Amino acid sequence: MGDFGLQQLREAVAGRAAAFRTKVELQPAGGPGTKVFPPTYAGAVYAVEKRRLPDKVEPITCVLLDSVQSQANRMEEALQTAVDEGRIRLPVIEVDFSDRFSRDGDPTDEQPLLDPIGKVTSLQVPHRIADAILRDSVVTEEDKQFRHKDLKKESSYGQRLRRVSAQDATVLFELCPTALLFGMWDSTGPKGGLGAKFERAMVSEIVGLNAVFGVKTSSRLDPLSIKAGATIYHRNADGGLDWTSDTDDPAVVKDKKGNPVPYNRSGNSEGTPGNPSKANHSNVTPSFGKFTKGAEGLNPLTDTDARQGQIAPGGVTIDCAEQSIVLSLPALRRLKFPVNGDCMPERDAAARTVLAALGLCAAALADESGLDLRSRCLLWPTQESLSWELLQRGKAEAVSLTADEAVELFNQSVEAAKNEGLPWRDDPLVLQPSEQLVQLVANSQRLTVDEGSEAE
Amino acid sequence: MAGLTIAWEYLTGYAVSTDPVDRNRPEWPPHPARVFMALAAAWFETGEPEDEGAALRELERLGPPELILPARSNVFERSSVTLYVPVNDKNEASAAKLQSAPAVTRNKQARTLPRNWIGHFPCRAKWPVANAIGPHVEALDRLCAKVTRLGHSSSLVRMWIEPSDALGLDEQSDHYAPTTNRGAALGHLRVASAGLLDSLPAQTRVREIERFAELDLAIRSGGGKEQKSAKAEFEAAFGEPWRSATKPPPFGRPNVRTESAYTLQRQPPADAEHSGFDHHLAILRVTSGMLPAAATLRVTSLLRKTVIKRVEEKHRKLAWINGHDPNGGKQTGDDGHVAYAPLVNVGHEHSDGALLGIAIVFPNAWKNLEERDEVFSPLLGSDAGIVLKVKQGPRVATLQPIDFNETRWTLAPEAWTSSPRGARVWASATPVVLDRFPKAERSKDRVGWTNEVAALIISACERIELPPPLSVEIDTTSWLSGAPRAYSKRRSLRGQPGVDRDAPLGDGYPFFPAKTGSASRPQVHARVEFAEPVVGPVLLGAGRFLGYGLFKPLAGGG
Repeated sequence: MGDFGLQQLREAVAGRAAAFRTKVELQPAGGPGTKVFPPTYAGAVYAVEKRRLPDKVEPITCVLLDSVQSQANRMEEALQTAVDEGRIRLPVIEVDFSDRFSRDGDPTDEQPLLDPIGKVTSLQVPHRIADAILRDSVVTEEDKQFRHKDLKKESSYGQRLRRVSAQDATVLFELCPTALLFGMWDSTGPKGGLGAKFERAMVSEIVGLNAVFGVKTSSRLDPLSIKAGATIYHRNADGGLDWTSDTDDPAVVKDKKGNPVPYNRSGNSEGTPGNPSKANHSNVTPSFGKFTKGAEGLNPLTDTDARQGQIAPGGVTIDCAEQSIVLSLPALRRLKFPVNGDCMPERDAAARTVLAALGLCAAALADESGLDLRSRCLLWPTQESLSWELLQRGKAEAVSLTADEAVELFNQSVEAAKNEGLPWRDDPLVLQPSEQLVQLVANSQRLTVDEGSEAE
Repeated sequence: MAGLTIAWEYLTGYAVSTDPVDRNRPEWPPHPARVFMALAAAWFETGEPEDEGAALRELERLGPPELILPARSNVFERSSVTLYVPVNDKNEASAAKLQSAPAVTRNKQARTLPRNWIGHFPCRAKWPVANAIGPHVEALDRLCAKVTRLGHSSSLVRMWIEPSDALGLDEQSDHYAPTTNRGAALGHLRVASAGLLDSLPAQTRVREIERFAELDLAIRSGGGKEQKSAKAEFEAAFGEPWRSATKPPPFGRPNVRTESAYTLQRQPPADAEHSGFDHHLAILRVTSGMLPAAATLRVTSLLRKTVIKRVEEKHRKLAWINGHDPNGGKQTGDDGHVAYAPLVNVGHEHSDGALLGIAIVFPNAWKNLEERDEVFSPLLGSDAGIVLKVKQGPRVATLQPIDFNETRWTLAPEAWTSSPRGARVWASATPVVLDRFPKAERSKDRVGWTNEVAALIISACERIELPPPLSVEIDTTSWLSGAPRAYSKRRSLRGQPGVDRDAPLGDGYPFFPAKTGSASRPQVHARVEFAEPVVGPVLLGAGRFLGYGLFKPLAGGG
């Protein structure tokens, strides 16, 4: 940890420093110059921009590799892994669906889930402690709904959450401190749109620099040599195949004129009805990946607007990727943490120090595990540990922290906060999903199964 | 006379804020009211300290500030994409999986988060005269340090008060100045005005909503006297008895109604030589009717006629506009009138040669800027634009002045002037029409003809007050990709009696009109290299006032 310990962190948080900031250089795990695949947005487009760099005359083309929202999810995932491994103890709220799935796979009224879900925690749900999954679950220890419009039917935790604000963030510190770090909006609680709102204090994003765009090809040679001319027709499935190439098959479906109906799986608008490709057989013509419905934005292959049907970029090569992480300290300084109605500067400082340490820890843990962003986009940091700049007015102080050092710093800060009398749950707050929530999840699982079978 | 400068840096390098006019575009420049609202938010969220409130009330009375921002050429918009985010308020079955918990599904809604890459250049809002803020500077500085974002929550900033009164202008910055001349304005920006801070609670209804929630909770959870008292308070506060179905007052978005017109004051050129044309260009963009570069002459001629007609309706005949003295004779002296330059999409990998706009180019000799404004403000300030009936098939082109939202590099003055630093190497986007016929015959003495044409181009440079170039290269093809040839190739037609002996082949600029009975003068593409950087616009040759002979800086020398 060098010269940077708990005391230095406390001073940084209490002083007038603006932020911790780091820029991490990343390279594809396959080596520099290996093609990586950015995230695609509506219509299969990439988010592209230009930047002017000091050492280059012309602006360079850049592409977004991981967004702010996605990065927050990944940091929370890294924290969840550290919690599961026992490296850190962090307040989480978990909803346990384990008992609602039957091991033999046959749904019942008691166990209606088609797929196991297990436990879902406040580090995984999109809206953190304000998420509808938690809201619509029951606190096991009190047998009351976590959040409820009617105060008498609401858990004590929910009642305390009604009063949460920047001036009184103690309950969030106790139950879900990550909400204070990555942001939260209690938009569906008792106050509706005016529910407590905490803006994010931590912003991270990954951008690929000097991007050159490739294309993605697709083709398939059918090992059975099934040809496109071999027509197939709908047949009454009765649990078996719903197509046949035999027009004399008694189960073949016929139209009003008595002609067999060419097979056309619903939801699949591409190709000719009756073509074996409708049942995933025969060859796939070699082709390039194209923009799909809803494409808008830029086609970097032509520098024109992206349009459905045009050949789309498929993967990029980059000089390197840059991950930029900023932890805003003024955002933490706004928070106060009264206990039993009493505010104390030392207690506030201790809680803010925990949140800053939590941010540094989340970034270091995500960095340590590498960045497996998506299929064919595994990036790896080129430096051993995160090197932060502590941005003071007119100067920047260098701070280097390995993941182990960040974990140690975080654990020390938590102990110091407990010593100041701040509440901190070391064990998860366990909720059970309500019947209505379980039913909704089961319906969604059926929908997924139906869509999957249609898309096959 | 003490001034005030509030500075801020976008910590992530991005400014994430939505243009209120077009929700898919990022806002640039950041409106001064956005800076004020960020300060107000910091104040409301940190207990509303009295001294900081007083500082804010003084700040809102200072009027519109000047803005010193990173140059537009260093600000890049991220391409617009639609992302789908999991929402919290729709209890419906869904098949969309969550990234963070793949076993769980959730409805998703489309969102756009427009953003600009700024880098880490500081931005500044400056009030040159701010004596009244003197006693409040310390409180205001404390408040600045509490500001966390400008725009979206991912648009983190650090903000501070700049100790120096220096403007902080350099070649990397743009200077936006408030103006009372609406015709000369490039756009309008929202600004704070007296009373804004104190109007915010009423505008947002935050306190009413808080009170409603408090009393609603007391009524629902209380009993007996407490409930009765809460109901009475509720009726007194909201003018109706409490009912379980009563909805809270709706939240109101804060609305800033005050705007100020702004101009963009470009930096004067540094030490670079500059041409006899002013580097401040009035730019019109083609808003309807796609036109090719080859339509240049039609468009510039029509625009010139339209401008002359509109100006003469309101003013006496002006030699600066029509190039003739008031008595109708041809004006003597060079470059003493306005030129029209076609802004064609040329010079980069995917250029298609489209005519994206026209620049009205003023001679440096027309020094009376007030007269310029008086003549052109009504013309450029009209919302309807200038409709030109260009005979390019059935096309009708409409031209409108560009505004702050125009980000295409081709329509940026710097793309054609290279201001303020200048450029050494320039290439023609439209062909140079030679001022006279060379004496050498091209077919018999190619070297002699080329040398003579190069000498003519050197003279043309000197005519517009540029130093003689070190080297001149000539070709029929432009050094800028996407630009048509200097003139069309011809191909002979055989076996078709009654038809012209040849016909055009491929793209090319039409010949510049010649005097009646004369042959068209030769036109060529050229690349010129100067010993030192020069600032444009560079318009050379006999066609320069109608957009032929327009040069563009050649990146990397070509």
